[in-house]
Amino acid sequence: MSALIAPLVLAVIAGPVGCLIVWRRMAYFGDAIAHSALLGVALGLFIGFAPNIGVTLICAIFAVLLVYLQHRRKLSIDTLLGILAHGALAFGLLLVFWSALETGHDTHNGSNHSIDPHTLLEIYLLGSLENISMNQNIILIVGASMIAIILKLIWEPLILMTLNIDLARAEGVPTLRLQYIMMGIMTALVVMGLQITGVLFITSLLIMPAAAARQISTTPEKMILWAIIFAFSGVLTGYMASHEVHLPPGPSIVSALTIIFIISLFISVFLRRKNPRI
Amino acid sequence: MLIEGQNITVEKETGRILDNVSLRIDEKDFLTIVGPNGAGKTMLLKCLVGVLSPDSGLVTHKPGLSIGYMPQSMEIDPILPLSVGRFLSLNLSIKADFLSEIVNETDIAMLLDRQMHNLSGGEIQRVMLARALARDPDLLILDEPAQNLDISGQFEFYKLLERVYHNRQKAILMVSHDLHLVMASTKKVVCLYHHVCCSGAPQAITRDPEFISIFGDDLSKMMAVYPHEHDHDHVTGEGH
Repeated sequence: MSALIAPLVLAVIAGPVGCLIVWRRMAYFGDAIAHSALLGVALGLFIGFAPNIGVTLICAIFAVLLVYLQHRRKLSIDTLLGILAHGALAFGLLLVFWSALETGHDTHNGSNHSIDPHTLLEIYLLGSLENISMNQNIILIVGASMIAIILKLIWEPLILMTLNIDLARAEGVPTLRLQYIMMGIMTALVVMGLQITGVLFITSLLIMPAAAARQISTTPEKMILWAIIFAFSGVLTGYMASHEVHLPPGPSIVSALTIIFIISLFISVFLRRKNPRI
Repeated sequence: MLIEGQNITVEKETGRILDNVSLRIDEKDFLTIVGPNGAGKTMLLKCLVGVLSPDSGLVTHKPGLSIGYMPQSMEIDPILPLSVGRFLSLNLSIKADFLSEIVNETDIAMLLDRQMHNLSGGEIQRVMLARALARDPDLLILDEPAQNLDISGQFEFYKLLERVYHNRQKAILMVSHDLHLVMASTKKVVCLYHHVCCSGAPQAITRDPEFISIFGDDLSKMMAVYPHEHDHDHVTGEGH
């Protein structure tokens, strides 16, 4: 049962952060940061330190780079994000295979630890619920609580800024600082969730519950509550799929979330027929 | 003095949007900025509010100045579910009777449970004015507040604004295209085309040669404001 702790904590914090990402249109940023994470994993393997440190480092560098590039106007931001995300993914993939070749070479010389690049990629791209250590559980719980506290403190100005940034700035909200905090929270969450859902699916775990929740909510807080419930159901499905039938958790979670989203669309049509003001 | 802007200059790739603009707003002023599209009116308001910092020049606020700002054309993104009532008190601590007083004054009581993104243009403008008033500001800064309203909607909105001005004795700084509608209430008009072309009382300014050169004789007589070609040179930075 302790294998359930990490994914459930992740689902609870994915609700509010996912809503903010959807409101503030940051999904592309999340994706770019997640893709860069594989480069971090590969660098960690290649140079020889723990993949988690590599991921945190590279993601933080990318996050700062993205905030900086946001204010340059020669190339549009989606083009830049596409280049950064897939550039990092490509280099990461090459590095993973290269380090496998190197360690393969080492095996010939008598060293006995070799990594199968395909297993490694399966874990980091598609996620894994095996071997989540107590340490990782603790990191997740502490990280999620910290994010929750920070969000509680900046909630109202954050909503105002989402509604209209000029209005927020005129009323004295430190909008630039809040943007950096949001970027930091998103980066932290991507790093925390990466191992469970994989590089390819972490952003979906954030935005799909929020998108489904929007269909049936009339206040920001209700939307967050529904997003948590949906993320929870998605993660539970992923957990069962991976434990009962040995399917990779990332795609299982996101398939479940896709079905939830489609159902939410139907519910929204029904609700709007009853009350057109929603 | 509430706000004073001195020699505000803003550069963009396309050229100088604002060129040495100086403007001062005092207590109980009612000042309207007019000018053709692209003249830098919105930019000037943003500099004065403090949303934007000018490339050069100085903006001074009275210490502790509280501004109620209404940005140009609020577009509400439907992705955020938010009721009008919640929006009015968002990030504000406001007393219930003061809030209901403002709600009555701006006539939005029946909108409180509605979602922000479902409001019509006129309803949004009234809600935004209520939000600006809810901060109990010394100064209202309004950027084309009657934009997107039909003629009777504009008339209603300016009547509301005039009531607010008389009841609350706030200073008002406004950008407007509808000079013919604000003539009666505004105390002073500033005509802006990247620099201050002319300024003065509304009745006097429509006879100002600078004003006529920008807006044309017929239009000036109608006191209406339209985009125009520049076929004359202004001496930059002059104030009248």
